[in-house]
Amino acid sequence: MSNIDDIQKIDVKIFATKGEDINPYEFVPVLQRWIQEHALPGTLIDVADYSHMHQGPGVILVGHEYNVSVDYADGKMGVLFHYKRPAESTFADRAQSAVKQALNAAKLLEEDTAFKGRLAFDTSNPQLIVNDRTIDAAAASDAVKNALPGAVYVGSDDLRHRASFRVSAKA
Amino acid sequence: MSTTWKERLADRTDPELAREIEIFETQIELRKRGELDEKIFAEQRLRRGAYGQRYDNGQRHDGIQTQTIDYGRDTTKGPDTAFDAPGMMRIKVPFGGLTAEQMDVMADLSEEYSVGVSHVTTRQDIQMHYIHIEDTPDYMRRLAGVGITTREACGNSVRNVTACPYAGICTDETFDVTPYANAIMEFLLGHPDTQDFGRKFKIAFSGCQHHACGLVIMHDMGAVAKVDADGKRGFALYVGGGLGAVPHEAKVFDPFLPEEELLPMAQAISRVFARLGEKKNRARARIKFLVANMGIEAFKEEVLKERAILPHDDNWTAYLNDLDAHTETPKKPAAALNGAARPEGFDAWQKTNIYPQRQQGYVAVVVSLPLGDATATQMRQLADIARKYCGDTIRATVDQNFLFRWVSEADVIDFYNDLTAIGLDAPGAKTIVDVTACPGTDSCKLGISSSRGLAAELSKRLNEQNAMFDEVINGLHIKISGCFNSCGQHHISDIGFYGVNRNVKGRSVPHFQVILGGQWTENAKSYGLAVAAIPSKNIPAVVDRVTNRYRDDRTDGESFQEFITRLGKRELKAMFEDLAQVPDYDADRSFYSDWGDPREYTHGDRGKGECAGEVVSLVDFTLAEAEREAFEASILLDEKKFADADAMAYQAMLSAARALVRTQFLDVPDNPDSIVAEFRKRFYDTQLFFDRFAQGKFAGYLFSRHERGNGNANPEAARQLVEEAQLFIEASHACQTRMADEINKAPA
Repeated sequence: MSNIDDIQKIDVKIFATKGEDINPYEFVPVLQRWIQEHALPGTLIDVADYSHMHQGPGVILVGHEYNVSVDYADGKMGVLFHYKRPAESTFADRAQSAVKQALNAAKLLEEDTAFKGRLAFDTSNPQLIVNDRTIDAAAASDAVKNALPGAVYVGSDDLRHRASFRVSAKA
Repeated sequence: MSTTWKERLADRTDPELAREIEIFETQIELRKRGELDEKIFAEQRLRRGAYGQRYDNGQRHDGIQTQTIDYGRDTTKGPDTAFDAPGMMRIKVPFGGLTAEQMDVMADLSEEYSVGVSHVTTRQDIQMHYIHIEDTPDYMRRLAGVGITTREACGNSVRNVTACPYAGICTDETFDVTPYANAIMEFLLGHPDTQDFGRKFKIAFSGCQHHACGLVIMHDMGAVAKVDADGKRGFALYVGGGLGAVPHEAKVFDPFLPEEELLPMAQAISRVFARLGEKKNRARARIKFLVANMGIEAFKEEVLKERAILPHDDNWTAYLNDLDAHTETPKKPAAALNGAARPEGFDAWQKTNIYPQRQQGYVAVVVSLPLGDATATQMRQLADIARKYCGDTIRATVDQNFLFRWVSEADVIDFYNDLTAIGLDAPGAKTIVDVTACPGTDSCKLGISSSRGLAAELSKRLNEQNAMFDEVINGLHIKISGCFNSCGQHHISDIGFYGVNRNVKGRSVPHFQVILGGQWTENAKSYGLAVAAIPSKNIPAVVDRVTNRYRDDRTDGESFQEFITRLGKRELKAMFEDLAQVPDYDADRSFYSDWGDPREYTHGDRGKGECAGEVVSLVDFTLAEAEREAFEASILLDEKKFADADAMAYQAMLSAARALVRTQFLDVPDNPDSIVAEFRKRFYDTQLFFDRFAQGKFAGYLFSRHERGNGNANPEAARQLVEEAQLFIEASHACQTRMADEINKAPA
């Protein structure tokens, strides 16, 4: 049986408080520029535009270790950080790192000259999703609360959905 | 606590599928250790649906310069393909048939391994992008848990078998082709006679001759349902069609092939293709070239000779006793649509997205997917809609949409409202606004221009113009391919485009070649006319111009094909001449980047495509299998499972022996006695297997073990046999090399 530290795939979303009226396509050249400028750590690969989709993944900066996207799932715009490749780390370290990197990406986007005050994010209450269905909600809940004290489970009654939490974060 | 997917799904996975996936997992491990050749691994993963993607060669132009992408490890998963680069998984959906549960699982997979999107392809498959190769075994396991295999989705194999999505409910069909499409898929999947192709092989079924739905004429092999004068079922069988860079129309192989001959004839055709098809020149390796070179009569003669010597197989006809197994049962009773209030948008949607079934009181509903994409949430919501209204009757379509069958007319308004709630109530299915496109430069290594970017732009503009309500042009089809390989099926559309590149004063500019007047109907009867290469940014103007001209100048009742033929290439080229001009770079830089991609356009991001797979001979493939079995034997030995290690090492030797025997005797029965006997006769007695120094020593290892039999394995014997198996396999490789050298030396 695997343990919680084997859980490597974690998503963190920082919700927008301003900027829902920005045409999603505007994010494409910005994220393309981030690749040119190596604006984020790690290996950045490409930009994928899914802004044609209803409440979809929006515009994604595809990386090797993680993706960063301007995401519109459930009709709520935000910056989504999506850890995807395994690393030698505990679940707690990884969860904390995901929150930190999501906040960093949101800040970078907010401050980008392309948006000049048109974009803002609520950095106090990100959403964390355990993106791995081999772990049950109870075990995920314990692990997340240990990693990020104050985390609150906000999962859905629909058992098909992943374990989801609101966590406290200092900007 | 968590469990692995292997543990969780053990009870609900077909053992054969489970074993297949374990084999692939071992191959990944061997590749990581450098113990499996990269070409063989590439073909192995392609035959499991694991495809490469753009930039997996580690190079990407960022709009200013080419950057190297550091994926970490130096390991590759194919020639010039970084092991850790994200890839695409293609999920075969035979005849497009999906269940609600399968859609739920796809939603989960897209979230955990991909970017949350399921994409419907022009061959009724589902594709997901940006997946790591190490995630693919669990990905496959979870699909296997709901009865789906990705096996042979790509590579030099029989690809997804497509069929008209209205099969079983169509008002015009001769009979429901669903059970036949399913039977041929099951029969040919992993069949020994389909493992040695030089290229892919695509099969399609249609219930009728006249409509477009099956697109038989453009396939390697196609079957159109027929009944003879006595009411006996059969098929008009076609062979040798194909799009690609050079489209060929399929030829009639047999105007009436009785149903019981469908599977054996497909097997015979496969054998001839494997034996006589081109393997060195990949550009000419499709069966269409073989049929064209031989002529259909000579090809047919060869196939019939093969058919005559095929060993009988009960599987050829067993399924005919149970054709009703695929009959769908409606979830709800048929009832007419009453006078319920119609929400805004419903009438327009009903006009284009509803198809009355031949079964009174039921309709099929087309759910239009933007660019063929559905989010994970939408997949679950659509699964719930299916559960609510119609059960497991969903089909993916070649128009990149979903079709929900057996919806009671009385439920159509509620169905529409449910689609509105999830953002999938767009009207215009199968009209000019329903533009089809392959992935193109978004993710394909071969993409030249942005097919999806252009499709999105055209769809948006045509919707703004209300083109779907324009009675003159709304029935036209627009299809776009990112390059000449035709994955977007541009040849058979009224208005088609494929990506090309032009150099304008030293700069690359994305263009599309304009193809007009293809015939979609009559099962994709004929191909369009190439007219001109136009800069990508002027393509919307091309569409406006040709549709306006058709509206203004057509004669009474003249179809678009007839109109294009009447105008002719010279006139059409003149029509677009001004649009072919590219403004100077400083005058309008927008022409120097493509739709949906603000980077300055470059041609340099193209890589080596994997559609052609890797040509690996059957014997090399099987010897690689033997290697894998020998590796597994060594693992079992380490785990002190001596009896199992002994059995696996023996199996490895049998596999290697069989690989050699099949170079002379294709139909050697797959049992130890037959294999060993044939090996002894053909390779030992003839000394063909003999090594210059060791003579027949390594063959002796196989004979000894075969005589010893099972049940006598002690740790020492097991250890010895594992080593002997490896030596036997090495000797088999050496024998194969000697045989290949002899062939190469022989005069032509």
